[in-house]
Amino acid sequence: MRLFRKPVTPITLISDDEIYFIIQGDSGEGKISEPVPLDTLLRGEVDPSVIPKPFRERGNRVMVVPDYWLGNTSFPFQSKRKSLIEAFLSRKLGEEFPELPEVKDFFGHFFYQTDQGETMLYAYFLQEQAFFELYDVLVEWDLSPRRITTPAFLWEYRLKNEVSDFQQGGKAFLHNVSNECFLYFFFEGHYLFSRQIRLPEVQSDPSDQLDTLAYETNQSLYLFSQKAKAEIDRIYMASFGYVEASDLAEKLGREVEEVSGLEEGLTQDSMTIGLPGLLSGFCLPDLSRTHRFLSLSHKLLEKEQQWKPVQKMGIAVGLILLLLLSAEGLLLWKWSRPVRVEATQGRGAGNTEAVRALRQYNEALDLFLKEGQRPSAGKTIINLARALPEDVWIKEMVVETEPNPSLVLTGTVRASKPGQFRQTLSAFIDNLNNYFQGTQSLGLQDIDLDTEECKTGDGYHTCVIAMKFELP
Amino acid sequence: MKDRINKRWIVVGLIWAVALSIDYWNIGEMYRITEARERKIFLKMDEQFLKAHSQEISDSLREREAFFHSAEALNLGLLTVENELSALAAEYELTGVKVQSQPDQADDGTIPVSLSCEGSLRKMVECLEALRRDYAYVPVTKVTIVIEDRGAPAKSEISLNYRYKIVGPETQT
Repeated sequence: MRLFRKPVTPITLISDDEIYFIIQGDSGEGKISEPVPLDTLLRGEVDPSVIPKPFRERGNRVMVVPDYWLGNTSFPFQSKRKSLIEAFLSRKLGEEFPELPEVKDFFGHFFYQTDQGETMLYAYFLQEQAFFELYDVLVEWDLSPRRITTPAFLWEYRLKNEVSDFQQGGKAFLHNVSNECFLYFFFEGHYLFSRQIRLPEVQSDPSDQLDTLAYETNQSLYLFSQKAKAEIDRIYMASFGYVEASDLAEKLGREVEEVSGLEEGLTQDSMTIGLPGLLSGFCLPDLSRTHRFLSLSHKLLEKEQQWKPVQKMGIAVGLILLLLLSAEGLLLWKWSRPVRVEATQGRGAGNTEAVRALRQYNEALDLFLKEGQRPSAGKTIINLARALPEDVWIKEMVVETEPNPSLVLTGTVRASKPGQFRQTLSAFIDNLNNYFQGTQSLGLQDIDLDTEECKTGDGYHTCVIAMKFELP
Repeated sequence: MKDRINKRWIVVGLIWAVALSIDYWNIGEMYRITEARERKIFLKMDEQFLKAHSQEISDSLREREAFFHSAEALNLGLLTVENELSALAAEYELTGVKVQSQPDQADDGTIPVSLSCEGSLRKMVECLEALRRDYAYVPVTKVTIVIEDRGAPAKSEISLNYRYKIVGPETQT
């Protein structure tokens, strides 16, 4: 059965200025290391070897710090954009704790609705210098905690499950452990503040403890009403000490409810932490489910954790793709081999000869086509001679057959009177259109008549003409 | 901490880069296979075409030969064609014949050649027709004819393109 059990999260607990490293023992119970005094650790007088080896191997998952190391505040905030909220909180904390620059790296937030329906931003942050120093030491030892929480947050989660109307109004919870009592105060379902009361040693009569607890509770109730501007509507108690809920109720003159089921849960589950004090009332699996209770971590670590699933998915999908594509590549490579061999053989002498013959054939066809389209210079001259009227004769002609087949001519036109030019040239144009069918239709405007070169003699007017047109 | 995030991104990037490279290679390989297959099909089609039209092809190739002058050397070829052109012009009673080739302007197996002559327009036209009919390897590209006066002989400048093919002595036709 144990084989299939999920390994339990290693926990670091800071209590009474001492640091404990908790890990699951062989029989499933919480195994706690010898407490290490916090101040000696911070002074660097502690060797990392004091930390149990299994703890070091598994890494520091959850760190439980005293409630007073953590501050909280709530206020209305318009925007719900994470980047905006974080920038605002970072700036606000920086201003509030100028002596603690690291405070900007350790905060969390969420929105909640008040009983009046107002949306509030709840922010929580670490505010203790000792924490930042401890964090640096743990980072140096490669044991930076992934999630940091407090007993108050653990109880908050626990009570939300146990108490039906926990989200409404003010609630007080008393956690009594032999000579100590932890008082937690919640408002509208969220942690507000806590107190740690040291009770007198019990010799024979526990009434001294009861009196002290009743007095301190009343003081705290007054403090709560000042802080929350509301009254506590219920007091709950989990007693692992000498003071009973019924006795306290009688002393306070108001109802104190014993939180039921805690002890049963603890006795049924063998993985209790076994530490009398702060974490009594919890078992190891409670602290393994870090997503259930409120916690925070270094902003960079948080970012790393946020991206981790994406990166893991990226690696997994990438590897699967790599595997599939490699298999496909192998298949293609094997498949292409015979095709390539055939293609290489296909380029043999016989095929080369065939390709050469076809290429020559194509070249021959191109040549036949080109030559077939080339106009005959002789026929062009004959057609031009035929098109010439009696009064037009050619002085120079240029027949071009490639690249742009065309005919350029210069000649002379003769007329007995100026009005006859038009008639002669029109006849010439008509003849050209007739003998050079396929060219663009020619008109009188295509003839360049040089009037300055016109001469008169022998009863005739003669003018020089020039024209150019493309051959079909 | 930042290093760890970056390292993981590098791993992701590397895996995807390799995967995409393989994909790129695979696509290329697919194209190569398709191309090889197509080439094979085309070769088969070429062979079939050659078999079916072998007579037609060989006739065309033979006809094509007429469009090129086979010569053992370019100078010899030019000398031959210059003589042939001079002889042709003389045959059509054209005078002042001058044949000039421009080997320095040779381009892709062709050399420009010019033929200048003088004579009657009719004979000139006949000469041009004979050139077209019997000398396919010297196609006329341009003819410039100048007739200075009515009834005067025509002076012509004929530009030709000499197409040649250098062959061994045994293959010359």
